[in-house]
Amino acid sequence: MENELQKTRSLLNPILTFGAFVIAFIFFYGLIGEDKTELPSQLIGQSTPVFKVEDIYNPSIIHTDKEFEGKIILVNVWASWCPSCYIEHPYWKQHSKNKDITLVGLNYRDTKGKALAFLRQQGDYYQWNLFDEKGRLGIEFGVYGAPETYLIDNKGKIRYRHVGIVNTKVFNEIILPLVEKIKQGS
Amino acid sequence: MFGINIYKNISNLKSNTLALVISVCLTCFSSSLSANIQVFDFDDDDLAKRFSHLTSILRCPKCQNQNLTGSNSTLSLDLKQIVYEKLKAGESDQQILSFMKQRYGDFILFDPEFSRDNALLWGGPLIFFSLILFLFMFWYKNNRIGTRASEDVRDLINTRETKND
Repeated sequence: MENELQKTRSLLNPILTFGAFVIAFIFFYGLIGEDKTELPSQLIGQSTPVFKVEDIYNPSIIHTDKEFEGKIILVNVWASWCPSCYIEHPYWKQHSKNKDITLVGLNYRDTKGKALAFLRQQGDYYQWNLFDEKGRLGIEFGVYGAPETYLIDNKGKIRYRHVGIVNTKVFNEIILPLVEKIKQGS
Repeated sequence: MFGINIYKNISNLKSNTLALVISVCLTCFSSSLSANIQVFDFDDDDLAKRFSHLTSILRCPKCQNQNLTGSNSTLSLDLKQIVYEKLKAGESDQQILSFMKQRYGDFILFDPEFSRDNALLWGGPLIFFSLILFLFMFWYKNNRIGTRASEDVRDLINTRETKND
């Protein structure tokens, strides 16, 4: 009887030690596996920031957050100084064919001449473009680099933020399912 | 002889002109470099102190391991400018920090506050350490040589006693 007890005890010890190692491994793997350069957005589920920003082509046209009402909006933060934006831009040609989405550009901390040249050379697929020269609207959105893309639902709530290039995979697998959800009213 | 002198004079003139051109160029470039450094003027010493405190505890979202004071990225410069404007406008430190937190989350603080979301992160090491301590004590209790020896002696006495019976 006593012998059996000792046997189970001597079996239990390595099992417990192994368990502790597994827990430690999961814990540290979780820490290492996480992409620390990608920050979670604070604005998910929040309302679109209130803003008044001029149009990139025509300074007399002032865009506000009111224009977003009732539409499913994708705000794409871009700049002519951002190398990834040149890679991302052709994807917008494809994505902008989707009639459910209104694609709005947010030109972030750029000069007007370079931004307009970018649109002339790369093509303008945006419904309208906000000219955020000082980067203040970007900060309202919590932008920390370009490109970034925000999905805003028809009630003006920010539903998703993507840091980096919105390629076909991201668009089809993340954004479109969310757009479907929004259309169904949830 | 005369010809060489002229040549020397001309070459001196050339190097002088070259030096002038270089120094002018350097001056121009250095001014364009120094344009990246912002200067924040405060009339009030207290405001200046609060500014340096706030920019030292706020982290640059773009550069991860630098605070706003140490970072010269454009985003940091913008955020510093916002802190400056808000201080000038009379906002409290708490208001400024919550403005930053609303946009960039706890990440923006170098010393994040304890909340429900990060409870595991704060408590995790403590739980893990307790678990290790518990396991060690469990192991120690079962492997004490003294206990084993005395148990062996007891067993020996028991067997003798049963034999004597």
